[in-house]
Formats: sequence, structure tokens, C-alpha cells
Amino acid sequence: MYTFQTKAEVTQISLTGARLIVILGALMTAPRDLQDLNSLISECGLVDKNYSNDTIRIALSTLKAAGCDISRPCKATNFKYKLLSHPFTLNITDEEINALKTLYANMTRGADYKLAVKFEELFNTLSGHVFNEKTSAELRSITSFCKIDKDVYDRILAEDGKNNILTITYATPVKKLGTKKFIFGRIFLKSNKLYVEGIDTETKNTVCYNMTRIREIINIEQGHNEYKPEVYKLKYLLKNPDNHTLPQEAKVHKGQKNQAEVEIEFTSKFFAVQHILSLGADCTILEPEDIKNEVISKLMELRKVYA
Amino acid sequence: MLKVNISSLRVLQMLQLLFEKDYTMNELMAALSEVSGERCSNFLVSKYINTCRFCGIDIQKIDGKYTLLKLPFGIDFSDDVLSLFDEIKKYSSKMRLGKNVRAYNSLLAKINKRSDRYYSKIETPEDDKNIENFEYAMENGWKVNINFVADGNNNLILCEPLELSSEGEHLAVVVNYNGDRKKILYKDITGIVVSNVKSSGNMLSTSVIFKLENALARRYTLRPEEKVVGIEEDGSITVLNKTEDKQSLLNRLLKYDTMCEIISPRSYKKEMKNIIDTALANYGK
Repeated sequence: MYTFQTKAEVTQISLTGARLIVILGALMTAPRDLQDLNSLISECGLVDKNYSNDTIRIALSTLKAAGCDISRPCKATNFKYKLLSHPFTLNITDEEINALKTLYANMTRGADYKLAVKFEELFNTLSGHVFNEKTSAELRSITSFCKIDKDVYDRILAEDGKNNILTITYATPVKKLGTKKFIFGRIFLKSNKLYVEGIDTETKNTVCYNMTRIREIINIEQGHNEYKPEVYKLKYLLKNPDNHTLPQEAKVHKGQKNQAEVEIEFTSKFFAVQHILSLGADCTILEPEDIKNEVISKLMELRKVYA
Repeated sequence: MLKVNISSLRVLQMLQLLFEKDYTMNELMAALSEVSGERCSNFLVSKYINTCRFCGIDIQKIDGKYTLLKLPFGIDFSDDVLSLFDEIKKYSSKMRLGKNVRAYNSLLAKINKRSDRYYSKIETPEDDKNIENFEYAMENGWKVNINFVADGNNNLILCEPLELSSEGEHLAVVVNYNGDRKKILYKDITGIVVSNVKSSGNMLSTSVIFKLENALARRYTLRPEEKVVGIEEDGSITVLNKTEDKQSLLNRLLKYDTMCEIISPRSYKKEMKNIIDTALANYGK
């Protein structure tokens, strides 16, 4: 952790000051007892001798006088000193959080889920260095992934690209718990939520599960399973293409009169229809015929609602 | 009374000062003397700086000022996050991000002081006069006159500036125009001029209320700007949305098909009907 210069390189230093910096650095990384702190100072080669416990206690008092909040060693902390806050903590302003939110929202729209996962890691790391509870909670809630069970989150992410068979406990929107078994396909991000897509082993249908609703991963069967979901290849005309945020994988062929022909693939009919509807009157679907008919049918029903 | 070591306390106090800003030697001596309540000489301050440097804390004299550059035991980011910083830098080089650039760079400066790596600041394409005018009006509560092209026609509107946003790879400005939240692509704008009309404090008069049927209501996640204003016995809910851009909201609600219905205002219902009719007309219906 430290890169001490040799004493020959520095003309004047405060050894007690250096000792305090070592202790502060050690407490910033983990709770420590007097023994740990003494060993660390020796390992650093700062001095050739061991300090007395009283000397270390004075150093801890000095840290407190400098504004550090250090808990007393007790059973709950495994009899270690724990740094609760310190004056070098990261103080993130509302404006800075808004900048992070804007970057996250703009960059992840239509992007690969891995980018959102990187943001999640950034926000979590920063929140670990912020002692203000409100700011810390705000950072953790930007992505909404904190609503996903930690074990589920880690294990699902580790499954990406393996095509193993997963058995999970899933809570449907009506809060009914059920067991689902599927060949793992891919993870994707939609409306700031992470979904897992796969093929149901029984029905052979493509299925999508909101990761927030996965309660438990019961089993993972290893193996090279064939993952070939049904693919809906959409082709449509789009007016004012710049007014719409299309998924990254969409192939946009811009034409004349501010119009474009777009090609995009979906593995879910539901999301395909939703996508076309969300483009409103700017979109005219050309193919496939069954999605086109479904979109027209939905629009006819909607016309009755607003008649 | 806690027994403390004065010399080491001064080292930490000086470090705290350098976390806040950069100092010349004279400024640092004065500031540390004020914080500690006793005179700190050039010799003592130099000794404290040497102590920090001895421990691997990188303090350098830049433009005559002592500047804290690195802390060996601060924030440690994973390789994934490090690559994210690069991606943000790449993204920002293409996008105008307005005042977010300043805020992000200020956060990076704080992170740099607490890390043993250096994360370079982002630079976005230079903001032109139009962006400057928009941000000035936003911060000082003035309305703006915006000239823009839509469907081949020139338009001029007097509106309240709300925020800079993006639509895919395009910058957009969001304004309050006649009570509606309106998004205009920056590339369609030919001029933004600050008016002499005070804005009404960015309050939008349009509150959109829509109903979601039971099946959708159960899985619907409220946006930060939304709240539930009614729950029916059949499980359907009524949602109030105050701030979403009109076109984005209508398109979003359209994808929920018949599971969602706009209740008010009438103008939104009429607009939704128009969108549906025009969409069906695309198929000769």
C-alpha cells in the first residue's frame, strides 16, 4: 500500500506523523486491533521496534482530534477499532450526482447491459467512500439493480454466455412464487431493469425474467445446450429517425425526406410489438406480416378506447 | 481530555487543507496557523509535506502552489470501472453535456485526490452561444426565444428552458411551452435568445393522469416524477405524471396498448387519438 522513500531521500520528516498516516490508511481499508496496527507499522519498515499499546492509543486519539470517528473495540466489531467516518471522505454534491445520473441515463439507453453493470460498480464504489447516508443511498439507487438479490445478481452475471440450464424461483407480478427451468440465453437491459432471456425447457418458448423478481437460483446444470430462440426480424419505415432512440443493434438505412428503413431483430414478440407501438405514427412496419397484423389489431383496439 | 500527539495532528490538519484546495507556502502557513491556533513556520510546514511524501502521498508544487495529487490508500476502482471512465470520456467528446461537464470534472478532481491513479477530465465539444444562452436563462430564470425547423418550416417559440438532454446521439433542449414539456433536437435549432420575460420558476401546468389496468399496474415501475393518485378495487391504478416530455410520454404510453388509458388532460387524449389515427392511416385503415 505504501511506497516509502528511503530516509536518505527526505531531509526532515515527522515520524509520529508518518505513523499516524499508516494507521489512518490501515483503518480506511478494514477494522484493526492494536496488534494489527503495530504489525503494519513494523511491516512498513517505518521503525525497527514495536510500539507500546499506549503509543498506538495516543495515535488513535490524535486521529479522533483530527475529526475521525472511530468506534471502541467491542464484541460487535470483533474487538477491533472501526473507522466510522473521517474528514477525507468524499463529499458528492447534488449537482455531481445529477451529472452521474445524466451520463448513466444517456449512455445506457439502448446500450449493452454490461455498460450499466460497470456504472453500477462505479456507483457502489463511490457510495462506499461517502459517509452521508442520503448521498450514499442515492448513488446506490441510480441503476435500480440494488433491488436484485445480491446472490442472484452475481450468479446470473457469471452465467452470461454459458447456455447452462437454470432452475429458479420466480415471483410473478401477482406475487405467485413458481419454479422456472430454462436454457440461459442472454442478459439485457430495458427501462433500467435487467432481464434474463432463455428458452423454457418444457414449452420450448422464449422466456424473459425480470431479475428483480428472481428469488433464488435453485440449480445450474452445466453443459453445452443449444440456444436457438425464435427470432422476429422486423423491417419498418421510420419518419424523423433522429427523434427516436433506437436499440444499438438496429440497422438504420437513412433515405430521403427525413425517413429511414430500419431492420432489427427481437427474440420476444411482446417486446417487438411494444417497440413498434412506441414509435407512434412515425413508424410503418413492412414485415413480418404477423407482427404487422398484431400492431394493426392493437391500434384498432386503442382507437376504440379514445373514440 | 484526549492525549494527542501535536506534530502528527498538524500533519493531518495540513492534509485536510490540501484536500480542499491548492496553497502557496505562505498561504499554507497562514491557513495551518489559523486551524491549529499556533504559528506554523516554513520549516514545520515543509517537514509535514515531506512526511506526507514519505508515506507515498503525492504532493507537488504546481504553478507555485502545493497540490495534492495522489493518496495511496484511497478509492480503488476495478478494471471494469477504469474502462468505464474511458468510455465516458469518449462519449463526452461527441456530446455537448452543458453544465454536467463541470460537475463531472469537479467530482473527478475529488476522486483524483483520493486515489493512487489519475483520471483525466472530460472535454466536450465547445458550447456555442445558443447553449450558453440556454444555460444562462435556465440558471437566472428567464424565458428564451427559440428558432427551430420542424417539418421543413421555421418556428419561433417563447418558452421556459428546463434542461439539456439527449436523444440517442443527439443533443436536445427541453422546454416548457404553453404548459407542455417539449423536446427540441439541437440540430434543428437555428437560434436561442434570452428574452426579457421572467420564467414562472420552471413549473409546468400540465399534469397528465393515466390509468393502468391491473395486470400492468402490478409490474409497472413508477418514474421518479410520477405518483399513484388512485387505486381501484379491480387492482388498476391511476398515475399522475407532471414532468415527462409530451411526445416521449405519449409514445411510451402507446406501447402499453389498451392496458393504459389517458384520463386527462383532454389535449393529450386528443393528441393520442391523432397519433393512433395517423398510425393506422399508414396501413390504409
